[in-house]
Amino acid sequence: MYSSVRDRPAAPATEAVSPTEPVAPGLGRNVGLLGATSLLTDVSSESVNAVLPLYLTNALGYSALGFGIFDGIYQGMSVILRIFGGLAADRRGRHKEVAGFGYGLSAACKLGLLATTARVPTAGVLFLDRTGKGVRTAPRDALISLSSEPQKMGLAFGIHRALDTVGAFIGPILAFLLLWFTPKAYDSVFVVSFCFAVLGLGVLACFVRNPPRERLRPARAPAFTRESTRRLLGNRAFRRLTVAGALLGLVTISDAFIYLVYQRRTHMSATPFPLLFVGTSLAYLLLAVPLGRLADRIGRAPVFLAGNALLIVCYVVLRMSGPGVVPIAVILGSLGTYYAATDGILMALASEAIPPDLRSSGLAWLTTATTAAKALASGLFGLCWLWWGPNGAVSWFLAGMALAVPVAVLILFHPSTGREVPAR
Amino acid sequence: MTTAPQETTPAGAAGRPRVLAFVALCVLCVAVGIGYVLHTGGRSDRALDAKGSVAAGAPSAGAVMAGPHLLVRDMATGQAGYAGVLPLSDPGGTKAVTDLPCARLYMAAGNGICLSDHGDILDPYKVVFFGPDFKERAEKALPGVPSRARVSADGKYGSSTVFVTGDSYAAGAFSTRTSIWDMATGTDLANLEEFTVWDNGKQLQSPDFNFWGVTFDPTNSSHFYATLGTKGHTYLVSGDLTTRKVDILRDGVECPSLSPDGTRIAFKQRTSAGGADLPTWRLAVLDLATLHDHPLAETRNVDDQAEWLDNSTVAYAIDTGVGAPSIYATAADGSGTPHLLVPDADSPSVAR
Repeated sequence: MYSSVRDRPAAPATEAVSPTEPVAPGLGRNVGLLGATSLLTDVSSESVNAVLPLYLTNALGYSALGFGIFDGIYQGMSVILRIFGGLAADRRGRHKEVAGFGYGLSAACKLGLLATTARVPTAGVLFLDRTGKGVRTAPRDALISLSSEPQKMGLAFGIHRALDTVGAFIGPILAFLLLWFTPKAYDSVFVVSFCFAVLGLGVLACFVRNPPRERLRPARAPAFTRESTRRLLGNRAFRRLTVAGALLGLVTISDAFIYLVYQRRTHMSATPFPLLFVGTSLAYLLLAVPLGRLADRIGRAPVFLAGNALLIVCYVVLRMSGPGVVPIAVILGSLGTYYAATDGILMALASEAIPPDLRSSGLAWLTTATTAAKALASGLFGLCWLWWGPNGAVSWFLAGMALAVPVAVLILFHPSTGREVPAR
Repeated sequence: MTTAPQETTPAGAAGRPRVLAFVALCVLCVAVGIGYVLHTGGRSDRALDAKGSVAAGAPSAGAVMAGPHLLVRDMATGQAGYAGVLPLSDPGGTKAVTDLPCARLYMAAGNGICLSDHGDILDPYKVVFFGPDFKERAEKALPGVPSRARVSADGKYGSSTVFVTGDSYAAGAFSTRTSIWDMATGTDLANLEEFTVWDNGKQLQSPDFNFWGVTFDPTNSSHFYATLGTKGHTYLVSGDLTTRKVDILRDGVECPSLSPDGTRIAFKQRTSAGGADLPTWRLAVLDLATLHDHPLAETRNVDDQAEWLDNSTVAYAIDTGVGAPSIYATAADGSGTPHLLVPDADSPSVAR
């Protein structure tokens, strides 16, 4: 759910603009406008995300297994869709329209949540919402890259992601305030979320401009060609990273389940539930840059593995948690630190291992593999909850993580790895 | 809301109409958002004014109560949270809304009990006893969030269940307080936790006893049924106000509600689908002669103490958090399909 998983530019279309070609005047402000669109849209989507676990299990009566399956698909969808999302826009040069369709679809789905309170249709609406996210991400990133000077592209994406993150921060706080004003009124969250989504779409529709046609060239090759796949799978360092990432993902408890277990173990009411999301984001925001620097200094693999080891602490405290500030601070702090230590850093590790021409498809592969593993883990956790209750399920995943971390150490630091994984 | 038509003109030329369009969109969104939040705020007791507004042309409560009727908590916008009455012959019609705000209420034989969270800010919870005129006769402080209320068929005894900690039966840990009241005077007759608990002639003791959801025997109002929660079990207990003891009958029964003929109990049953710790409930009816139960046709999550409309139909509220809660009814033998009884209302009690 954090920056790389949430909104990593699938493959910034740097190739589309030759380094000497200046950006058409007036396009530069696209970056800020798209940032505003993303901010508003993230307020919208994250306010809904923060109430979903309780809304689905508590109000709509999803079972633990049902929620696990839902959560897995929901998380996995946007990443998998994103790989294909960019193609249509690239081919026809209509980035703004394709992105607008994605934003519009997600906005409409917020109203869909009001229209039904049946379990299966609600899941359908939420999956459609995710489809909208998958559709819009790649064309939006292409718009950003086509609207900024090549040498300032890093800054452009930085500005955009910062605004995006601010939105993700405001969303759960907004949900909390709405539930505080009217307890259990999930519909007020959905309606306000819809309004923010419409405003985000409004910024895009009214102010963002498509780059002129002549600037558009095929931005990138499709992520999964037979040739790139063959070469990637032949790359031992990449293979090891993928296996280690997927293995760790398979024993990771999704955030939604961590919060649900905590809510069950304490007698927390629905109103402050969204604030759990804010706590994790806060820890992530504070630590992402320092831990990135640390990884550059002492090596990325150790930081990545230590981040996963921190989940063991998180699960132990979760397993024993009760009411009080200390357990929840440790749970949210360790969870946020885990994201800060692993999320971008796994991508950096992979970027080192993969030759430049395979990088975008390699990152797409890796993200898909880890996301698929985490999606499967959500379903598994739901199944464990059904059989052994929330405490038993946490215990199993705790045991799994305690086993997987040493195995991942062995995989990443295996002597035969040589210098392929720069563990330094 | 679709994307605006595409123009390739420079920003300046088409700028002004677009800015205006966007400003209009902003105004619209802010209006819709704030309007809807205030609308749902009407469902919240927190946002209530001191008095409910009665829709023009609505029937008077007295006229409706002359015949068989339903007493509910009205949850429609603008008058949400106030006691309202409807003729049993037209439960989907216009409610006659009173100016008595309640979180949960019940009435039998002209004796009403209203669990309210409208006390002062530091001590908001109270129980209000009222008559057919909806005027307060007496009130007492309550130690927590209102949950269940019942009155015996003869109007003599009332009961209240509140959450002392937690605010929902679905929360991992909660603690309840269930009291029995003298309806005429508002005297606190008993806290069920003072009663002795018996299981097959053996007395049980545990500090974790929680009682909730009393229902009185229509043929003998000092006899009642309730739920006893202890060590993860939810027992149906049969109790007596004179001997001040309760007997455990069986496990897995919450919020019992006796049928008018006193032979069956409608209750909410934890579903296994959610596992032991992700509780959702399904309505079921138990035959007191055999202690066997069968599920009702309602498959949605029901967290309510049901009310019998007659010996073959039970009514209950469903609250999904989207829109106001509404009262549905379904056949007590498990046949048929549930139907909407009273839109935008909960806490039903029937006067036949």
